[in-house]
Amino acid sequence: MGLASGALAVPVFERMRGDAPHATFKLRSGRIDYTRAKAIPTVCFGCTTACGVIGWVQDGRVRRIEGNPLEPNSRGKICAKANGMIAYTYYPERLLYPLQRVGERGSGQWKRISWDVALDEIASRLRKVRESGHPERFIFHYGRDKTKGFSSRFTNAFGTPNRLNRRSICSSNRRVPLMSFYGREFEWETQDFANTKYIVNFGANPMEAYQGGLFMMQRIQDARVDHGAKMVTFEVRPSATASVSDEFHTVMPGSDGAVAAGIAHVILRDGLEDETFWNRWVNVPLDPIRERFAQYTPEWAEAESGVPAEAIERIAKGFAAAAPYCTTMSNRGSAKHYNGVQADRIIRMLDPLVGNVGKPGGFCLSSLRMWAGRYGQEGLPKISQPQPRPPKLEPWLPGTPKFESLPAEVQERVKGFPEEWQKKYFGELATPSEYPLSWHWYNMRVGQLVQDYIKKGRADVEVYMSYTYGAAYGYPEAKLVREVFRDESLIPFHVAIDIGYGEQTALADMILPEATSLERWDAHSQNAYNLRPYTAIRQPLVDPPGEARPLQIILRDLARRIGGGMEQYFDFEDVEDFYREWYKDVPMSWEELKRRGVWTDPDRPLDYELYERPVPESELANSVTDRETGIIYADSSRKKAIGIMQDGKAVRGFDTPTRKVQVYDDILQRAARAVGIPEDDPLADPLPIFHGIPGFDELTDDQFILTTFKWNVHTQGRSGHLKYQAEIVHTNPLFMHPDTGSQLGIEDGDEVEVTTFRPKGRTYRAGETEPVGSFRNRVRFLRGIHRRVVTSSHHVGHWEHGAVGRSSTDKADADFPGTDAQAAGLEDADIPNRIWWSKERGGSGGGVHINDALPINPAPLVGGQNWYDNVCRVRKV
Amino acid sequence: MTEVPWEKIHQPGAGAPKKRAGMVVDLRRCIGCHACSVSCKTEHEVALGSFRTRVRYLEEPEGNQIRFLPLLCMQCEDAPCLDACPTGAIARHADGHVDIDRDRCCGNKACVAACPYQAIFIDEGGLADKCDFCTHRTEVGLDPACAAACPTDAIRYGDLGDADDPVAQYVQKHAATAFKPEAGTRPSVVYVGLEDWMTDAARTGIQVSSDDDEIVYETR
Amino acid sequence: MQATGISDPQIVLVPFGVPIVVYLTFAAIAAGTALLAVWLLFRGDSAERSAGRRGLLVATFAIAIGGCSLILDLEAPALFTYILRYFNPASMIAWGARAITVFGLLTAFTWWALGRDTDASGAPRVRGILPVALVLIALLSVFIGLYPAWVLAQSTARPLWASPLLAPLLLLSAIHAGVAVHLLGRGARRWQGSGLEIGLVALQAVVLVLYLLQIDAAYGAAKARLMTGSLAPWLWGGVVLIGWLVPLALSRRGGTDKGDSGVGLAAWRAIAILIGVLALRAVLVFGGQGAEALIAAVR
Repeated sequence: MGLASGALAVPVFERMRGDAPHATFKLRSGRIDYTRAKAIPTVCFGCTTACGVIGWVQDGRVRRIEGNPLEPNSRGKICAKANGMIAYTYYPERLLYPLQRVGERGSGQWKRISWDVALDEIASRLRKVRESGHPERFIFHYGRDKTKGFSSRFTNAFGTPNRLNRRSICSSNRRVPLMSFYGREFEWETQDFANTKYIVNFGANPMEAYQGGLFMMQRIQDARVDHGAKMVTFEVRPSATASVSDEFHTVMPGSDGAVAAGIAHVILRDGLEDETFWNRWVNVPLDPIRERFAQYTPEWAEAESGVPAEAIERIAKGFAAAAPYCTTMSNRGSAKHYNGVQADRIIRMLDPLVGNVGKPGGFCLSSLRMWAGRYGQEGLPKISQPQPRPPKLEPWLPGTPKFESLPAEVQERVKGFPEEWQKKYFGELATPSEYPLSWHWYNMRVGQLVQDYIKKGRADVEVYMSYTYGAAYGYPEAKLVREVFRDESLIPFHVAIDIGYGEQTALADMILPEATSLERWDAHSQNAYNLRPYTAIRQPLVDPPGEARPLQIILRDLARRIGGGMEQYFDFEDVEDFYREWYKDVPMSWEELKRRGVWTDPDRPLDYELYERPVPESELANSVTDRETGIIYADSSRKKAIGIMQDGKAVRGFDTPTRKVQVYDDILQRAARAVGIPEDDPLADPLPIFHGIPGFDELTDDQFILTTFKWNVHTQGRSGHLKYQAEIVHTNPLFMHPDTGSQLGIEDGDEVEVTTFRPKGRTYRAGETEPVGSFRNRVRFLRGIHRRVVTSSHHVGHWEHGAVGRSSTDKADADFPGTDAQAAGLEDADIPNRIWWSKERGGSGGGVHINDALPINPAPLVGGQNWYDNVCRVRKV
Repeated sequence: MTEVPWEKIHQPGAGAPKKRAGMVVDLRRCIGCHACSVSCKTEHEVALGSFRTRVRYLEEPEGNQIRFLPLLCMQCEDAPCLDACPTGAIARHADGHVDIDRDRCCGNKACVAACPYQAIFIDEGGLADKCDFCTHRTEVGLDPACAAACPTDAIRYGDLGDADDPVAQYVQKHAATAFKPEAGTRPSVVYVGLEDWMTDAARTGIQVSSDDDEIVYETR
Repeated sequence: MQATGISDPQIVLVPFGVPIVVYLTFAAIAAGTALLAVWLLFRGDSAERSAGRRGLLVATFAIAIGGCSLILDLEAPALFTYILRYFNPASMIAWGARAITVFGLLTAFTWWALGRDTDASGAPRVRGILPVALVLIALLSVFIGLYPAWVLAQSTARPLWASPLLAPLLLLSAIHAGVAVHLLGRGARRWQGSGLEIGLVALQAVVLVLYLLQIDAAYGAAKARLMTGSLAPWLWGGVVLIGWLVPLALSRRGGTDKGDSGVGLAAWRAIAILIGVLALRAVLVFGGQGAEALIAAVR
């Protein structure tokens, strides 16, 4: 209607301040005054991507996190998780004081104790463990440790090999094919997305949740929108990545390898491969590959995956035509399956097949870390922990007392290992003998089996120190984790170091409050997607509130109290001094490094075609070249290969034993032999091969595959209590295709019960018919989900982590002595009263915990958790 | 000593005024990551339940993908809130963006009712609040929090009144359009890749509502 | 529907809640009552002039109650003076706020002044400046009856409010409310029959039908909410049945003021009319908000 709008709006405009300064406006209180606030660069820890960021500090409080434009990977950008660090740092229910359990373990009754009492108690227990001759009975298990080796300094000095992690939960299935193909230094690839023209993505989700996602998403979108690159995604659901892809095909879980095999078939059939590159740089001729892939026709791939043969033809041709400006990418979608290692090997093979490896716009490799002196890192400054450093631990060779204490079946298996492996063996928790590929290259562990092994007596525990570890909530069959942690005969003493009170800390005997990433020092480097290595430092922006302390201080003080020589490795007062020493060789003053947050060498050539770089004369001096293979060894011991002869020139080659891309690798065969898997099992095949997931071919009509996924605002189980993140995603409905719903007589919004079953094949408790677990959840229809798949995210459904974590407006236990929001200035008017999605306020509540129902399912040989192989039944409640 | 970008804001001349402040949101680039909305909430300490900016997740009516639509105050040239406010607390700055003066707002919600985009809410102090293009940031030469954060450069802040401005040129080149053009408010925030169905699917606008039908910000 | 908690997303789409409905109802009562009171004071016999003066007092109280409701509706009620202190001429609320303030003061003053100058029967005499005041009151009454339609129309996001038909509908309904008040006051004999009421109801019905017919097809869902959905009981039961048909039926049965039963019937009639007045405003206020009535793609 606008009765007066036109005529009268003008006087209002005039009355308004014209070009008067905005200062005449009264602004919202709490707004940042940028002329007064101080910007301090640091490194984000919203997830493990670790972007360079700056934090604005005003009146002693971090007010905002922004990107650091000097950081070449993130280029001044952030994601939704970055500012979660602020919510974490100022979370009203954050742990502030050391606690000791007073009631039963897990009963939630605590008393506040002093740091001295806490550290003395832990140190006296640890000293006893160390002096008993069984230091391995101290376990340090972390969920997120980005101290770049500081914690291993502690465990090495202590003498325990059991610094355990969660790599099997995350990524070991995809790391193994990469390390097999390209070598130890390239457990993570660095595609040149900025210059690519064609991306074929098998189940990776860089737009949402991928280590390095922030670096990838911006380059991919630039390439797509500005330069017309095409992105094809194969996924089981419409992830953010699938949704922005130019072409998105829903695939049957576990069939990514079949699609890739179909693509390879078309490329080979039509002669689109780069034979020159392959013959020069791949360790196996094309003929056996042609022979194997002749069977993988697009029609066959369509039958396996559901992707139309026509699309596979088209994508294969498009991909090959764009070479070398094309690249594959893959992650959990393809790899977190029983057949994931071989599937990823097929996918990885597509790159050398079209010759895009190391080329502009192609599948590139850049060193993941900057520990100088390794492959591809020539000329970079040395960045390494200050001396003195603790000595390496002695392996558990046959004959040693530790070895003799192992169960007989384990001893037998290890005795059959090649000597190379025996020298890497440190007992069943650190180096599980059933999964030799979890430690052949380096120690990835098999985290989801640790509690099971402890329960079975494969390892004795005296002190279990969990650090930012959420297994009691987030691991598959988390109920087993809780059961073992509740059993004081299995775990006599559990000390948890964390920032918040979660499901895991709830099962501790003692809790130590830690500093957040905004309150501590760390060293950082990631593989650089601009292909020019850099390093960054995390520095404290503010002091921790209450009595929270950074891990370095906690471990230093423990080491000093334990004594016995440990203390010599922790001879620093100020943590900053320790890091200054760490970075002393970087050609930039410490103050300037703190000011910029990042160091990089802008004149360094980009990491293209590292394998064609000449081996420096200095290294060739004592070298020996194998006449037959052309491999150049550092010296006559022939232990360390440093290059390969190509056309009479000594070049670097790849970081593998053959200095070539190892499309053929008998490591799988050797590992299978060592653990008693028949060599004709496709798991053991040295050439890439597609094999189905056991049991998937027998699915009945009422059986579905339950997959999980990550949301872009959440980080595993560590973000459910961050208020702005939880406001966006606080539920985890069971997503299903409407057709699946009609098949089951289910309507959108109905409540269903999901019951899961054990996997088949060579894996943990395979074939047992008893259900693993079940949960009830609400259905949300979504087209774009595969009709055989139901999927639900796994971040929510917390029963600890404070009011936001629990999505409840209930006041927290007022008697909880671990925190004191008022005293520490952490009060937040939003928490708990404005948690509008809480059930108390008539909202949807906080979702459903599904991780108890997900079966432990380690991939054979490797141990990576096969998250997406869960067979389930769905029933309307 | 070379310059560090964030130190430039203390220099005179940072934050030169624009002729017509505006934004272009390229939906082809948006990946729905919520970096903008969480940055915004942190920047302004916005209470839970209220939104200066929000990213809508819309299921394609046909097809199998999800589309993302970041929404914020459109800083309309013909802003209904400006006329609705009885006290004149809402006004336009020289660069065209619309702001609320907390010294005049009485919290009578006429602006809330008037806005076609549900951009205005009542904050914890009982006063109206909405996106102000981060005035306190642009004054010192920083981009608004959402644009600064956006990892894929889907949100770009610039001068629509300056033909040489890259954002104005982007708007021209890609023929950016308004969200809910039928509201007739001539927004200063325009979209590339906006499709008709999105206007209807996201009609509930910026504030969360039990009438939303989408898969984030679930209310029920 | 009332905003019980700030930052409750459930309420954000309903910025105009129960207090606004209460205000609109009392403002209608005040405007209608005052308008008819002016008529009585100029044209009525002595009894009617006394009733007219009482009507001005009722109007004063009604507008005061409505004003209080508006103040309570502010999320920061202490800031209500801002509305008078700062003036945005583009805002119909700004004009309305001034109108109801002047209206309240003027009706109170006139009521008082009329009491100072009475004839032998005790009925007030309209002399001196009082005719001027009464004309002003009449004009303000019409404005107060009409302007909410412009206020609603300024919310361009809500097309159900953007109809020129709302102005006559609200004014007619306000006069209807005035009739009810004067029925309760029993001083205005001339309106105790059904004549004026039939006219008012018939006109309102015509305008309402036209209003419903002109709602754009794009707002079918919003219209359905009015006609058959959650607001249908208010529209058909509250506005049409209780507000229009019941009083008309009652006026046919005991149309004249004869005996106690007649008095009782007139009171029930009046209450029914006022319920209808309230229901109409509730239907319009709530019907115009919510997702269905938000501006949508119309192409």
